[in-house]
Amino acid sequence: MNASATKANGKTTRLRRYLAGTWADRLLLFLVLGGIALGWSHIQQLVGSGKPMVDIYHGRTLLAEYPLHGKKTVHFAAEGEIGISDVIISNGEVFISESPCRSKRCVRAGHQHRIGDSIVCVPNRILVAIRGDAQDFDAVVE
Amino acid sequence: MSAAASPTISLARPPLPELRRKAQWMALLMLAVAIHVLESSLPGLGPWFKPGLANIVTLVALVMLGPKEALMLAVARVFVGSLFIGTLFTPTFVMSLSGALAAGLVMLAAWRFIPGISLIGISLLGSVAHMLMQFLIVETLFIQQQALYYLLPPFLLVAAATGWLNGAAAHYITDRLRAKSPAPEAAHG
Repeated sequence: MNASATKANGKTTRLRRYLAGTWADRLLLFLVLGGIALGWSHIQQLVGSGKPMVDIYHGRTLLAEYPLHGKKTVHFAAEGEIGISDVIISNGEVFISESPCRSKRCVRAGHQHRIGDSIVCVPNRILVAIRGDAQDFDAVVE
Repeated sequence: MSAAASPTISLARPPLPELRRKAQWMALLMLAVAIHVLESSLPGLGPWFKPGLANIVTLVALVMLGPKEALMLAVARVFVGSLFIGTLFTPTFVMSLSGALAAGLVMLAAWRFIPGISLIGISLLGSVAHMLMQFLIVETLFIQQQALYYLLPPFLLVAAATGWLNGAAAHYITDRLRAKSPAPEAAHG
């Protein structure tokens, strides 16, 4: 019993030693996490506030914008680089139901509802982004 | 005639340590490709999320074989892996290659120039560089909307966590390899 407890303790100590890193590693982690926190707070200011709006882009082109909390369900066929991505806005959520891309990561991204949330389909060059209507994205619209 | 030709062949053969290093590099490449392919087939880990386990092999190569070989391995892994997955020269390939190159170069620079850093810190920086470069490439070449960067902080957070864990795993593996072979061909510096 005692021997097994000592063995388990040894394993935990070794695991801790491998996970702890050096002082330089910890300093780098601190800097990285600090940078992420700063970036995050900056982004929160950029995305704006107010009523959430859904912007649908193909590359630089704004294809459509809809309120997230509209009365009717919106089905929008976003024509992208390799085909049509079906964007659905319903019950205060937006999602991509169909996509011509192979990986379907945009479909797997699921339902988004918060200001600042986005869904991206890289192969089809489609971006669906939720912003606050009090502030527009710094986007070039053709 | 054949007797005259055989000494030439034997002289042209590279020395055994060099052959051993090449064999080790090939074995590590195959391992990295296998992990790369496996990772790409993992379902349900969220959009763009990859644990980056193949980078553990790059870190092991950095310690065992040296910086040039590690960088070559990272790039070759993306090419061969994409060939197997069927994404060669697609946007996914461009993202993977640019990310692997950025991660490789940052890891080499960190290894050489940051005093007191271990494989954990190197992996952390590599993972963050990989994610940043992928966003930069996607924004510049494909999406062209700055709103894309609103996704960056959570992705960076996940990259930092996986980078740290992968670095710890690489540290453990290289320690075990050193313990098994008393005179490792360490190539630090």
